[in-house]
Amino acid sequence: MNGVSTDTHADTDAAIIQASLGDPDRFAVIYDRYAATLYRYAHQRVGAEGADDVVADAFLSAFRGRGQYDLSRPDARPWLFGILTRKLASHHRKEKARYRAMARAAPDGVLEGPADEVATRVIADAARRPLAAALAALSRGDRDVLLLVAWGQLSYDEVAAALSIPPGTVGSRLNRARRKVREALGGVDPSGMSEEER
Amino acid sequence: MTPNPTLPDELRLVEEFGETLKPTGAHPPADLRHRVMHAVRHDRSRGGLLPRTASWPAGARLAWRIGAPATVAATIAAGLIAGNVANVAGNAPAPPTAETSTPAPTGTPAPAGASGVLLLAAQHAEATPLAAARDNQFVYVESVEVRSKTGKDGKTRVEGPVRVRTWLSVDGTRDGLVTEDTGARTKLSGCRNGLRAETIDRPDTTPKVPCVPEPAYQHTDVPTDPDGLLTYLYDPADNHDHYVWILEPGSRKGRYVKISEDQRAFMRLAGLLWQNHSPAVQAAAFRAAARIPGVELRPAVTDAAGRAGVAVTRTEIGVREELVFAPGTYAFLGHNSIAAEYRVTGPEHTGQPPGAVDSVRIQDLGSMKPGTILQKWSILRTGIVDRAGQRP
Repeated sequence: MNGVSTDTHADTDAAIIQASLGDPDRFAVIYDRYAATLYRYAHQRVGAEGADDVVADAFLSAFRGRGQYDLSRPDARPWLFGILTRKLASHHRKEKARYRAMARAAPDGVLEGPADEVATRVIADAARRPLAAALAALSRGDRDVLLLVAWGQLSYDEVAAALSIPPGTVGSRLNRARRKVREALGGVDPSGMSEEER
Repeated sequence: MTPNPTLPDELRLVEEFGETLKPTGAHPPADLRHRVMHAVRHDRSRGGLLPRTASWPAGARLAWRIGAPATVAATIAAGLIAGNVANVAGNAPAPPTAETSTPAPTGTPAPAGASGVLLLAAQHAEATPLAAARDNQFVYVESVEVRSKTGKDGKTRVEGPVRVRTWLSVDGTRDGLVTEDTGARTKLSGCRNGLRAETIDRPDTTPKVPCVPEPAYQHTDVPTDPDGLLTYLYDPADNHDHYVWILEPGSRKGRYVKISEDQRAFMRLAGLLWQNHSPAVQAAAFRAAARIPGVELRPAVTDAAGRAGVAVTRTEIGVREELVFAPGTYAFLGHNSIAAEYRVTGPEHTGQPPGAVDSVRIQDLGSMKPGTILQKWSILRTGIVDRAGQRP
């Protein structure tokens, strides 16, 4: 534990973020590591029209706030997802409206393919409208937790770090969100298919 | 249909629903990267943490990074002269050090020993014949680097020596190249029509930003008289305080320590010696170095290639910067950064510093061993070639 180094040698996110304090160009490394992941998530939540703006805003906020980055966390993914989540909050109404529109939309046409694959897609399609309706009806906090887990692939601890809430709160929000989704699925039996689809 | 025994629960259904909402391509829109990095680049006026002069940081960091990996060399080449030229051309008020041809001493004058070595080095450079070099050619620099790396475990290891070959554009407008015997290759974006690649990590695909060419074997914009060069090193257009950010392993919050103007001039000198190989520039640089307060002589050092040398040094904030010369001929061999006893003379800050941040270090103040190599680079040979990648 002795000696000195420029941390530009180390390639953890934390080291690169610190190096970007003196050399803003280094921040490009963070962008290249996480842009695709963050963009995919934003696209899922607000669609192609809003995703660009949200991701650009999130990266710029991350850049401005990099001086406050917690250096004990080598992986910046939860931090970036946290910032992105706050940016998504301003698109809250649009996001809800989008889910509602999906809930009203007619299901896709004829399904073709191997039987198993078709079965899976039938389940997903059967659930699509009630799922969209459920997401629209969730509270913002519950929806953030549910989607960070299901779409962002964050662990409970990472969600807790991203949203600055205790892990216990992550668990309770996720349980509540899952229960509401189950309820909203209503006639659709998540462990099979609803009557009308058989 | 028979029920699937591994049927999805509601979380899995949400996941599958999400699959249908993903963008079609694997990558975000191409212009998003430009948008973000452009915003980042133009955001410097907002934060106190950010250097306020757009092109300064690369040059300021130089001495810290010059022996570091190829990408670092790329930063150096990309930033040094451009920053200086832009700043010298500006109308910003000059700091007190620039009002006279000799900076006001803030330390003890250079001892005769260091002055003597620098004088002999200047004479050696002046006696070096000027090579015939056309604007579209390259300075080939074969060098050896030793680097220290701090791993995630906090332990520092010395790596190398690594053989590095660098091609620097004679007039600064052509794309240069850095290759290592480790296989790494980095393109140095030339400054053409006032534009160069915005970032060093993807010069081919990143948008261009304004620049000023940084010649490697011309001195149209770099003074060749010691007075002028000294002013150039002290950079009168830059009136900000500069800081190094220091983090002790295990702690979460670092602190900022101000770097003196003299140390920064000495560090920029080392960078200039890497970037510009004109004999006239190098001679002026050595004469100017003798007038930077606080330089010292260190009779027995070793360069990155293992050659014995005599060094002119300047020490600050726990690091000794060494310019190494061959004993006997006083040819310039290279540059070392060595850990020294940690002593702070400048002001310290926690939280945001009131100026620009030049470099970042992880440093164990309690048990840091003086003498630890931070980095070294030394030049084995140079030559003029027609193409980047071609050896003389």
